[in-house]
Amino acid sequence: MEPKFSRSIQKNIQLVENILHLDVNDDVVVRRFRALGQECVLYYVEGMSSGEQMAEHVLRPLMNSSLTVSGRDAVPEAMKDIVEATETKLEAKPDSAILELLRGQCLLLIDTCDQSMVIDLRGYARRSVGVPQTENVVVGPHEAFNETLRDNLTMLHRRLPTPKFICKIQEIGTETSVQLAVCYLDGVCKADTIDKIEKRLEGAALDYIMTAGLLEQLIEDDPYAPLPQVVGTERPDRVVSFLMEGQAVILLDGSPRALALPVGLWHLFHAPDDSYMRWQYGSFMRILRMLGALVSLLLPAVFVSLVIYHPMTIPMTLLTSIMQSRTIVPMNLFSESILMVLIFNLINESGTRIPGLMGSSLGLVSTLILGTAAVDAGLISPFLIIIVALAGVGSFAIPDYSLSFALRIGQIVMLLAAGLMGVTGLCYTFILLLCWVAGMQSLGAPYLAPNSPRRSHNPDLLLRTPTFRQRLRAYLSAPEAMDRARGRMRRFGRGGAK
Amino acid sequence: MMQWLKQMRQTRTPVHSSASQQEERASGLRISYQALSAVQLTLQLLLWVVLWAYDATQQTVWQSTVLTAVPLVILWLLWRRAEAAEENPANGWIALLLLPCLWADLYLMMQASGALMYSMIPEFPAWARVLLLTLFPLATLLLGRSRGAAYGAYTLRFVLLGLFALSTVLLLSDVRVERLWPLLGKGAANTAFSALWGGGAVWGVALLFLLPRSDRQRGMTPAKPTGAFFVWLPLALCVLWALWMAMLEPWRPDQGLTIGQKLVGMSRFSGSILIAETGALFWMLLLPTGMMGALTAGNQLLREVFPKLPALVGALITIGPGVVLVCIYQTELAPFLTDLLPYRFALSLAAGLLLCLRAGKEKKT
Repeated sequence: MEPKFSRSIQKNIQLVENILHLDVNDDVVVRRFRALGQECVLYYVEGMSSGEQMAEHVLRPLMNSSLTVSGRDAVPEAMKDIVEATETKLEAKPDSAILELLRGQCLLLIDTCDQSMVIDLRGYARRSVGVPQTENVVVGPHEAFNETLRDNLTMLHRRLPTPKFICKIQEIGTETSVQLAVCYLDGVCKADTIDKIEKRLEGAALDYIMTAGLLEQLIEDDPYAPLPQVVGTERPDRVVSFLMEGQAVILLDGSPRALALPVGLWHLFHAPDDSYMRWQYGSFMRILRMLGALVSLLLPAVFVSLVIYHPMTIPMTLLTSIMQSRTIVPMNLFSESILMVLIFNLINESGTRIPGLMGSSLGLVSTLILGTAAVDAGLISPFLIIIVALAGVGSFAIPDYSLSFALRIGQIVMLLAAGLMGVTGLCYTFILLLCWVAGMQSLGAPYLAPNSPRRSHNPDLLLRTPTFRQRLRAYLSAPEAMDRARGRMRRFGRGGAK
Repeated sequence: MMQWLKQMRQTRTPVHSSASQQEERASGLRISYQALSAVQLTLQLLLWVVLWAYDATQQTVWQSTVLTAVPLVILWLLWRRAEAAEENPANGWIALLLLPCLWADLYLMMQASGALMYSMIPEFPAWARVLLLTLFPLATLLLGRSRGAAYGAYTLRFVLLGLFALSTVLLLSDVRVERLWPLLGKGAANTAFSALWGGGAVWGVALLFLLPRSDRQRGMTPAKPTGAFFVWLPLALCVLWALWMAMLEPWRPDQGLTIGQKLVGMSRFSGSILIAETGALFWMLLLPTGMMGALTAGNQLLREVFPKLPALVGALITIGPGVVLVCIYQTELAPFLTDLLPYRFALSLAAGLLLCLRAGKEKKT
């Protein structure tokens, strides 16, 4: 049976001390005092609550009050008439009360009352709103989420001052619970999308879900699939655009990354820049990104297969240059290409992990030593360096971090197929990957929709369509909310402003 | 016309209710499966044209392909009438009559793929070819689950059409229109007989009506029957291919071309080596997609009658005979295949007739 607070403060103190291991745990501060004619005790975790506010809005009003209360009404009376904090609530269950305490709130117990008061005076140190680390834009907002759920929700509320914006806050984790919020626009997001998300969250049975990445793997449709079925973003503006398109977003306390779902493959090619610039520039960039993805995935494999198995397809002058550059290379092209791709990924990973001060040294090592010196020594051919570098650049053009990884892994798979079986192997592997991706789903929505299968949708998908042509929401939204605008969107007339 | 343009600008008719959204989903799924079946049908027709219908001396292949419209229409009209009965899962066993057709198709496609691989990379060992031709379709079916092949084929539709154009109309070859004569080919009777022989390749019209099966079992709203586009497009492409083959300088029987060389034979006449290689690329994308279509169809037809059958087992039953034959006849077709292929039409006709009879009975009751 779940324990409850009793009317004896001594028993309550004993209960709380046992749960929090206060005999060895020095982090919890215990403040005992007399107020309202009764013995009181205030608990808080050092550093998580604001001492100044506690003194000013809780201790001083209580101690200076001439009111005398007792019995079950003691805490409710204090909450109603004396304590000056904005957010307070009554809690009869010690487990729930202590959970709130460990989240940074204060816990007040008064003798003769079997309820506690949880007071929100959180004042812990937290990172302020910063700039995005992985989703840079040239024009547009430069705010990013931080690790505090409340701050992140505040950023969203600022951007969406509408009663339709719903945040369902719940807890997840079987042993140590973490707060998360499921956000959506009522009427725009389908009801069954939210039902599915909640069902999956209920089924996520890990003891402690530390980051959004862990949560993603627990709720996505196919964790073994090659591509992500959830989009992670650290940008509030991007989250708002997802919400407006009928998708739901999950924010986890302690993680600066929001998860948007359901999504399709095309969402992974969208960058916030596309919306902040003219539609022509946005379309151009999207085409570039898709070309970059194809180059990243196929270029090394095509090069290897043509040079090894089908050299007659390469123009003679180019073929002669390639062969001349390879005359002193000790390895065959297939082994050399695999090695180069692995080295490229190694340099990339090192660049991510290396401390900032040493970053320039890495550039020097990779460019001079590994690049120039290796070519001069005849260990690798210059053509292959160009091919691998182009393929790498192609993957860096992808805005979604997960997709760029998927492309780099796919590059190796295609390289293996091409190296072993030529263009035939390349085509077969391409078909296999295409069918695999086509069969993927995100919360039941086909991954390649709305192209395959076709659905009616917002035309801002492959190309950045002009804003005044985007009359529909995404195919993921509720059908009743499909129309974003009625009539003309540019109503000032053809000749100019009236 | 203006309304059509307006709709094109706005991407399809928007759906504003759950019911219309369900309809749109069912329609999208159906069209994807039709695209997959159309790819398989096109492939069978092209293989018939390239491997059997082409007559080096007379160059009368295009007349036969045009007359193939007759058996195509027969099957199309029959299966349209049979659609009412084939929606009833209890009649699923009738569709199993088409399993031998799928076996034959798969073997033909696997053998053609193997031969193409051999012609491009002769050093590739035979056992590796067989392994690739077996594992690739199985892996694709299992990874793509029930709809991956259909959606994948639908995604590739324009790529395949583009490569087809590069292999025919845009080949930059020296075509001579006068080679299309005589108009009646080898004579009306011989030409008609040749067309009937090719009727075996049009059996796949049945799949345009049969697939998808699994969603019907789940009680999903069946899509309305779609138009004739996916029926006539394969034939139109086949006729276009035959026209181009007829207009080019023929290759002689004594040249001893292998299957792989025949498949890409037309590309030899291109004025550009890049375009010539797209001929091989066209077959290298079309053949695996066609294999996926046949394997998906077989798996679904079997699992409708035996719902507890695992997907892997259904796929192995469908691909098994093809694998055995490819192991035995490594680079050339099985000699008995030529005699058996026309009977695919008979099986498709029989299945369609049985379903029509069942439909009549169900209507009475």
